[in-house]
Order: sequence, then structure tokens, then C-alpha cells
Amino acid sequence: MKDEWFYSLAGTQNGPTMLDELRVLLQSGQLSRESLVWRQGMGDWAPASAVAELWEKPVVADVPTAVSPMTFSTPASSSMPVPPVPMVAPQLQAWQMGIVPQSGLAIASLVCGILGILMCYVNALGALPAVICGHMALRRIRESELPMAGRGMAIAGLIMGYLGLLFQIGIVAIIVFAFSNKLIPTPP
Amino acid sequence: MVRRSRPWTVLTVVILVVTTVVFCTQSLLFAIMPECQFHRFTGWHCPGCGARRAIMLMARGEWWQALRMNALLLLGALVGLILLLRQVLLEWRKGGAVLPWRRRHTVLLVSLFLGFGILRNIPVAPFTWLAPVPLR
Repeated sequence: MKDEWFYSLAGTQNGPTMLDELRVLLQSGQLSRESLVWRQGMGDWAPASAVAELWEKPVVADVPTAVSPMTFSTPASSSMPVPPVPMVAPQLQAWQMGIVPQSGLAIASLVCGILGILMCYVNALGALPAVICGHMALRRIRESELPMAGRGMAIAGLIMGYLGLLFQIGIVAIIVFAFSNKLIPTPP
Repeated sequence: MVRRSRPWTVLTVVILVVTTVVFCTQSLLFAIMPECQFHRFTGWHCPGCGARRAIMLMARGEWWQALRMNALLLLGALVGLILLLRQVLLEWRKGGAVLPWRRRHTVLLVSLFLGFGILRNIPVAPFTWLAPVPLR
């Protein structure tokens, strides 16, 4: 249902609730302007302050019954009362607002993954934390009650991490092969 | 009230501290680091080869020579620094900063690292610019 709203309170997801109830919660102060809200049709969770329809005055449901034929012929928008311009910012995607939390583990995984590739022959020093953080981030994002960003970064970190581990195994294999075949070059 | 965490600020502080320590202790640090075993055994340059020389040259202020040793490290560090500053600024001004990360970013990143690792080993003119050279 498009009219059903969800909101976050004390770190948990609540709802569905109707628009009017949500307005009451906001006006009574039980929900703050920073509380995340979402309804179907919105791209992502957004802080209540950024959702214009929560702050508009209730739309008058009663359309005047006695409407002159003249009014009927004009476009509906011109005959309707112009709704007051809300005194809030236009509705943005939550990630544009930068409000949805981004998993710190996913960031750590990506950074360790990049380092792991760059660490010539000790790739595992970066790659192992990248793989561990990446899997932890994915699980945390999946199990999070509230939406969490960072899945793409965690996947990138995991790919780089596994590539780093592959490099490491390859290097160890080359060294073992060189030693077993007495192909060790003399150090410069 | 949503709990605010600032992972980008934490990351930037950690990177700044580690970079400062590496720059300050590089002569000691690099003396105890053995040479790249990948290069020793295969003769090929890995994506990270030349990083040590690049850091030493950067500390000396020879940026062009540093770029010559490992272009990916330097350009990547520059892009990373700009992104980090943007994220930190957003975090403190808006309370949170999400880096919009799409699948194409993952593909770009992985192919950049693998491609750099392959291209710098091709012994033909434009690609040899990607391979590190011995310190003068």
C-alpha cells in the first residue's frame, strides 16, 4: 500500500502506519526530524525533515459539491486550492542526503582489498582482512533492521581480497617450485 | 534519534597516521623489508612493484620520478585523497556520507589493477613507461 509508512525508532523498524498517525508522532515529538521514514514508492529511506508530505497541512478532502459548469471546463489544477509551499528541502534520495548509514566494515574491506593487491608478495596481509571484513559487512547489511549502504563496496573488497589471496598462493607455489627444482636465482 | 557514526573520518585519520609513520620511518622500514619475491622469482612486475621507490622519491619531492615508478599508486592515491576529503566534509556537514558504489565501479577497479599488472610487463614502448626503473 502506498499510504503505509514505516519509520525507525530507537534503531528498530516500525510500521506500517498511516500518514496521519506519522504526523501525530512527529508533532508530539516522539519522532524527530532526523528519524528515517519510508513508504513504497520512495527510492530509499529518508529523514522525516526531507519528506515534504509529512509537513504539509492536511489536504482538504471535501471537494466543493456546488461547482459551476465554468469551473468544470477549466483544468482541475486551476480550480483546486493551491497547496502551501512546504518549508522544507525538496525530497532527495537518502543517499544524496548522506543519511543512510554506510557499513564501516565494507569500507575497511575495500581499502584492505586494494592494499592486498599492491602488497607485492605479502598480499595476504591485506587480502585476509579484506575477505573477513567483506563477509562480515555483507552479513551485517543483510541482517540490519534498517537499510544500510555499502553492499557494492563489500563485494568489491571481497573480489580484490580473493584475488590477493590467489596471488599469494601463486607466489608461494612459484617459490616452492623454484626451491624444489634448485632454480633459485642468486640475490643481487 | 539515529546513531551517527563517521567511518570515513576514522579511515582518513588512520591513513594519515600510517602515511606519516611510513614517511618518517621509511629508511628503517625499507631496510628491513626484503625485496619483492614475486619479481625475484618470476622477473615480472606485480601491480605494487615500485611502490617503495615511489614513496622514497615522493619524500624527496621528486614527484615526476615517483610517478614513473608506480603510476597506479600515485594517481590512485590522488583520487582516493579527493574522495576521502569529499566524504569527510559530507560526514561533518550532513551527518553522514554514503559513497554511491555501483557494479561498474567494482568492474573498473578490478580491471584497473589487473590491467596495470599485465600492461606494465609488456616490453614495448608505451607500456614500458608503466614498469618501474632502477633508482638512479
